[in-house]
Order: sequence, then C-alpha cells, then structure tokens
Amino acid sequence: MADPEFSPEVCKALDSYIVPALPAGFADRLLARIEAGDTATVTPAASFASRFRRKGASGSNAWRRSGRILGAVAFLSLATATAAAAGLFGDPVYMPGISEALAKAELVPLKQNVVKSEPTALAAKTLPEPALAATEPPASGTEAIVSRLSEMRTDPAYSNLTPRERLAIARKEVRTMIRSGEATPQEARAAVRELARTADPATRAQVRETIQARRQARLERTGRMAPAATVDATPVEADPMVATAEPESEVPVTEELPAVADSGLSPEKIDALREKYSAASPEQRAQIRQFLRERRSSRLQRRTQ
Amino acid sequence: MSANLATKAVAESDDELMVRIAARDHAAMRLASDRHAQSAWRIAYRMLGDATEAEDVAQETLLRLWNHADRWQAGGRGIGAWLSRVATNQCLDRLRRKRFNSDQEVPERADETPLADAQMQADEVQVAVKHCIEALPERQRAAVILTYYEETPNQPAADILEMQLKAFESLLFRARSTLRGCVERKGVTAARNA
Repeated sequence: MADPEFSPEVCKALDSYIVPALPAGFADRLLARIEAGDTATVTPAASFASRFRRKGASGSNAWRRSGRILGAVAFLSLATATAAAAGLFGDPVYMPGISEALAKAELVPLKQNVVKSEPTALAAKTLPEPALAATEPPASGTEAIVSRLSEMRTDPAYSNLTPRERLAIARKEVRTMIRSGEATPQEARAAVRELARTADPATRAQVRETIQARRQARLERTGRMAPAATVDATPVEADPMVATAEPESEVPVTEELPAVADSGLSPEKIDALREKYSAASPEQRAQIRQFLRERRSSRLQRRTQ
Repeated sequence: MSANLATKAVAESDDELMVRIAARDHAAMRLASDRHAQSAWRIAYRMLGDATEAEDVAQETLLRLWNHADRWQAGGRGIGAWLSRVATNQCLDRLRRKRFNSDQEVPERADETPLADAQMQADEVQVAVKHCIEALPERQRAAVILTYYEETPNQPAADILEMQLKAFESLLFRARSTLRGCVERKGVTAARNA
C-alpha cells in the first residue's frame, strides 16, 4: 500500500483501518436469493436517476449544467424581448437597446425561389421580350433628373419665366447632369417620359394640342396640307418639359385626322365615323388603318407625279 | 512475460466462469463469489463505513453479475474489475441518496458485528482514520479507497469513476491532501509512533 504522497506515519495509520472479513454465510445468502428468484437489484429508473446524479451533481458537471440552464433562460428572455419589441405580440413594446437596434435594422427582401410550373415556363420562353422601358423601375439617374426638375417647378422665379426660357433652363440643367455623369441621355429621356406620365390631365391636353399645332404648322410649311382652321396654332402655356416629353407617336390623334380634314366632311359625319371606329373590333381597326395608309401613300404618289 | 500469462489465464478463467454463470450454473456463481466478493465487500465497507450496508452492496453487486452474465464480453479486464466498478458506483449512489433524502450529515450507525465493534473500541487510530475517510467527499473517498487500499492503477480507477485521467489525478491529489491533513490533525500518527 505504498503511496508516495503519504508519509510512512500516515501510511501506517491508514493501514490500520482494517476491513473485517466477509460475513460468514455470504455466499449462501447470495445463492439463496438467486434460487428464490430474488435477483432484482436497483430498478432501471432509479438506476438512471442515480447515474444522472452521479455524473451531474458535483464538480465541473454541476457548473456546466447550471451554465446551460442560465444560458437557455437568457436566450429565451432575449428572444421574447425582441419579439415584444418587434410587435409580434401586438403593439410594439419599447425595450431599451433592442428597440433601437430594430429601428436601425435594414429590411432585406427575402429571395423567393419560385419554381415555375411548366406551362408558365413555356409561356416565358415563347413570349417576346417585354418592353423593358415601360416595366423597368426608373434608374437612379432618372430619379435624380425628375427630382431636380420637380424642384425647379416649385421655384416661383422659374414659374414666372416664359415657356421658352423654362425649357432652355431645364435643358441646360439636364445637359449639365448628363455631362457630370449623374445621368445618361437614356435616363434623361426616361425622366422626361416620367414627368409627362405624372402630369395632370389639363397639362396633357394642352400638350396634345401643342403637338398637333406643330404638326399642322410643319405640314403647312411643306405645303402638303390645307391650313387647319380648327386647331389653334398659337403656343400653349404648357409646361415645356412635359411638352417635349410627349412623343408624337403617343399623342392620341388619329392618323386619319389630316385626311378627314382634307376631305371636307361635316363635323357630325366625322363624329359618327369616330364612334364607328371606336366601336370596331381590333381587327377592323387594323384594316381601317391599313386602308388609310394605302390611300395616303397613293395620294402622295399622285402628288409627287 | 509470466505475469502476462498469469493474467491471461485468470482472464480466460473469468470468461469461462461467466459462460457458466450465463448458463445459470449456481456452482459457478458460488465460485465467483468466493473469488471476488471480498473486494466488493472491502470497497463497500470503507466507502459506507457500515457492515450491513456493505454486505447489501456486495450482494447487489454479485446479483448484477448474475443478471448481466449473458451480456458479458470476453477478453475484458475480468470479473474483479467489473465488480469494483459496480460496487463503487452503488456506494456513490447510496451516499447520494442519503444526502438527497436528508440535509443532515450521514448518520453513523453502530457496527453490529462484534469483531468490528471490538476493533474500533480497541484501536483509536482506526476510528480516527475511519472518521477521516468518511469526512472526505464521496468521489475523493472513492479515489483514495480504489488507489490506496485496492491498489487500482489510476487509469482503471478513473474509468470506474467515469472521469478523464487528468481530472482523476487532480481529484486524487486533493483527496490525499485532505486525508493527510485530517490524519495529522488528529495526532494519531504521533500517538501510534509513540
């Protein structure tokens, strides 16, 4: 029983602790229990419980278990507080620190991996490319131009200027932005379209009239048309930016209007024709347009001859 | 080399014995009891300090051997090591159960065996040492009993207590320090030497 940790005196003292011999008849009693079928020892449940206690009730295991419990409680508390601050349980509750962090948090849209069904995928393949300009969100340059021009509109000094002056200033401003790299020419055009789209109906009507008047004037210059008495050719006090924005193709002036004006029909007859045209099916309208185009081209050919 | 052969021979005989016990051979069980019950009894007696409880633990330990004989894996450390492990854990369980059931210190029961009683009254040193061992925390007590009294090497003793070797050595160091301090404080070493 030599142990280097103990002095010989201590070893002697320890060695004096003598265990008595095994009680007599131990084996007999044991075998009697076996023969009687009394072999049940500690029940499994008690064994498990005692094993758990044995491993977890002392030393570092106890600290580890306490740490786990504390960590779980802290995590649950934090999660509940965050949920309450985010308003998960109704009205948001102010939680110092958490509420500030939530206010600063940036919401990022989740990526949605939508699995297209087969017909949809086929349709996506066969359909032509959509008009990107119409569906794409305005670029940053577009937004900058729209914002800048909107600011200028609200300026009283700018509003007091004549349309020509306003247009000149607006063009200069847009050109400056393009040169400085804030926007591209495409974005500038998109911005002007955007301004035209958001203009009020009265302004849009004025713009249409202005464009129509310009067209008449151009036709008069070229000598192809008779002067249109019904259209006022004087410049309209419309917003020049919007006026330049509206492309001529978008103006809802029917193509047959010059021809109608040329034909000398009565206004009632013209209205009736318009109603008939508006009531026609798309195929019929296409046929009418095609017919008018052919007639116009044949007239032009005759004139040139 | 001869020691290895001897160990192997004992191990083989243990395995053979277990085969017979698994076949419900009572004679084999008696043989196992004669060979190994003493170590389980010693461990239990020193751990619990009570002869009755020690006998209970020894019987429970051997009954476990009987019940689990069919799951015995041959080529292990032998029946003695297995019984030491089971007896130690049973003692720890009993001590814990007492501690959980009562806030007070584990009451010392008088040993009914006349031989032990006579010895304790006769030998002051033995009583003092017994008290010092019982004053140790359970696992420290088990560590000292296994390594000092049962001469179990550190690694198997650590396995019995389900500990890493380093942790067991640390536990054993603390146990020895406490026990040495206790024995020296009681003055039994001086009295014995004198």
